[in-house]
Amino acid sequence: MIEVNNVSKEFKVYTRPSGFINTVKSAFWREHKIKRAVTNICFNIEPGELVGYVGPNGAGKSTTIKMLSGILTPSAGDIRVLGIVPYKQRMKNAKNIGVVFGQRSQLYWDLPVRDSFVLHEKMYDIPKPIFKDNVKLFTEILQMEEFIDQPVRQLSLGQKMRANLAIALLHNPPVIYLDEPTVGLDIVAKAAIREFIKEINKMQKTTVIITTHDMTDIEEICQRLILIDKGQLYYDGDLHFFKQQYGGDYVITIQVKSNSINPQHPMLSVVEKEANRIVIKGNSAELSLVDAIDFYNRNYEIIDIGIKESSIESILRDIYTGSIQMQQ
Amino acid sequence: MVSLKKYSGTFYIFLKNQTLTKFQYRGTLWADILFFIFGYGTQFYLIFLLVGKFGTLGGWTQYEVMLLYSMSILSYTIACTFLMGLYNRTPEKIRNGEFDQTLTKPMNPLIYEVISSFSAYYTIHVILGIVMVCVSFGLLNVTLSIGNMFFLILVVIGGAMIQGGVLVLFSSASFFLIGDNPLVYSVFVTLRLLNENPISIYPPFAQIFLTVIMPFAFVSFYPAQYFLGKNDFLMFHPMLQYLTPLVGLLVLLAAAALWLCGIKQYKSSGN
Ligand SMILES: Nc1ncnc2c1ncn2[C@@H]1O[C@H](COP(=O)(O)OP(=O)(O)O)[C@@H](O)[C@H]1O
Ligand SMILES: [Mg+2]
Repeated sequence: MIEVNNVSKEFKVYTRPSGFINTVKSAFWREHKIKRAVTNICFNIEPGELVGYVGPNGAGKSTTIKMLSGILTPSAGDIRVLGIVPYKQRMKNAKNIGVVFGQRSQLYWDLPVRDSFVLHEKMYDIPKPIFKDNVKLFTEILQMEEFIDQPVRQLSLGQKMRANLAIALLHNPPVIYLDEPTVGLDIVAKAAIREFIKEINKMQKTTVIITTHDMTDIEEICQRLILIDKGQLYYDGDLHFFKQQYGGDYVITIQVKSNSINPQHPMLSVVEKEANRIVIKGNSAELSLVDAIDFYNRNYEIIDIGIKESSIESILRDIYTGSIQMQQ
Repeated sequence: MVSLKKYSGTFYIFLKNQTLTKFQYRGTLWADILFFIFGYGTQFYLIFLLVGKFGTLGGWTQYEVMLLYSMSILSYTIACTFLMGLYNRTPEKIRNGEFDQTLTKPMNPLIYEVISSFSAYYTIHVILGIVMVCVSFGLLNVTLSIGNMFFLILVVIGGAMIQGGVLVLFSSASFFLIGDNPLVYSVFVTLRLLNENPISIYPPFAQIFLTVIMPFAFVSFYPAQYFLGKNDFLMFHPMLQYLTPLVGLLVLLAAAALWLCGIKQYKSSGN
């Protein structure tokens, strides 16, 4: 459904001129460097997939989304979204996609949200019954009743973002791109947005690509993870597999009835130890979590147990800072 | 057909909301009208005084120059109604990356920019422009036949397309130039002023420039020759007096094509 083959994007980055002559000249020509924002990226996405597209700031996420939505033309490689080349057939592509940029708004400042919706109805030629149903449904799931008739300039960030999400989906696009849709929002707004994305995906088999720095978004919404850094693809695959392969660390706190814990498993290391309580650390590549617990369960009578697995967040932090090495 | 409905429906809603917002600020609206009357009225009166004082300007009498001036203003206000937003606001959007939104709409990006920034209140200027043209013809004691009236309308539309085309051209500059270039935008305003005088007063290279390169002479100079039965065709063919509508169409289409080409250069902005 979405095919990205060997796509790269370069930008010319200009230096600021100084002096009058240079300023005049600089309107037409300036010293520049080539900045590679995205390098040789490939992936394929099937209908209905929920894909998390993550990477540190400046990794090239937004640039990729912009190429997928037809805003930017790739410097090399080719992209097809439902068989369409986005930057060549922009208008046709626009009908198939919904885009939300967390940093920008699609709404019209002076208009009430409802009027912005009507504008989209005309623009996308949405059939009346579909439009009505969608407005009703979205208003409900995103809890927009209280502000749908207010001018956009009076809305809070969270309200605006909900309205932006709704407007991007009014025409039932088979594909949506969400670029940091939860940035700066409170927990309630975030939860509403996650709920909405999952609901729409379930109802309409909408394909979703989402970028975010909040790993809870990814864990709650996505099945698949694509990781890029410095414009290059580092991981593309199942989210659980990613956790197992790169995380897999776990910490178990066990409290037992007897007064001394002695036998130790060679694959587990002890973090802390008291008379009847032990904190151990393991990695599922060496010994699965279940086996680790089973080992203690066979030898002791466990009264309490606490488990902490490494989160996507902690794995990514380790990757970004270089303490986990990945091969491309 | 479907697409026509899409564009007109969208346009109608923009228009409705824009007019509503505009009329909320009634003070600004009146100030604007007064500004127009004072600004252009003063200019109109100055031509009357100055050209009257010197007898003629390049062989044109005071009333004839006033006709030139008012035809130029009328077509300019029509061009502004449609394209001032494109000229004023779009370059800023292109620079700061807001233009992203336009490119994700299922519409021709140029048409979208035009209808989303259409300045309905400029129609008041258009009405004042029409008054000025009528006054000039009245002062000249020229009565137009039905046929000529029809041709005048075509000429005004043609003139609006020429000036509009140049607005589109300047707006497209922001795709090709680097950084912000306020200078480029002031050039248009200066160039346009040249068509308010008979081009016969300018040196030959300027006459060629205004006929061939930036054809402002077709806005009022050549067609006025037709209406006034004048024949100072300078170095050019007399056919030119009929060509304004055609030139207008060509200029506008060429400018639009260039603008659409410019989109390939669009870089968005990092976010
Ligand atoms: N319009 C642009 N002009 C120049 N450089 C850009 C532009 N857009 C992005 N970049 C650069 O490309 C890289 C990737 O940016 P971006 O895709 O916005 O990253 P992300 O969204 O992952 O944070 C960054 O180094 C950024 O500075
Ligand atoms: Mg980004």
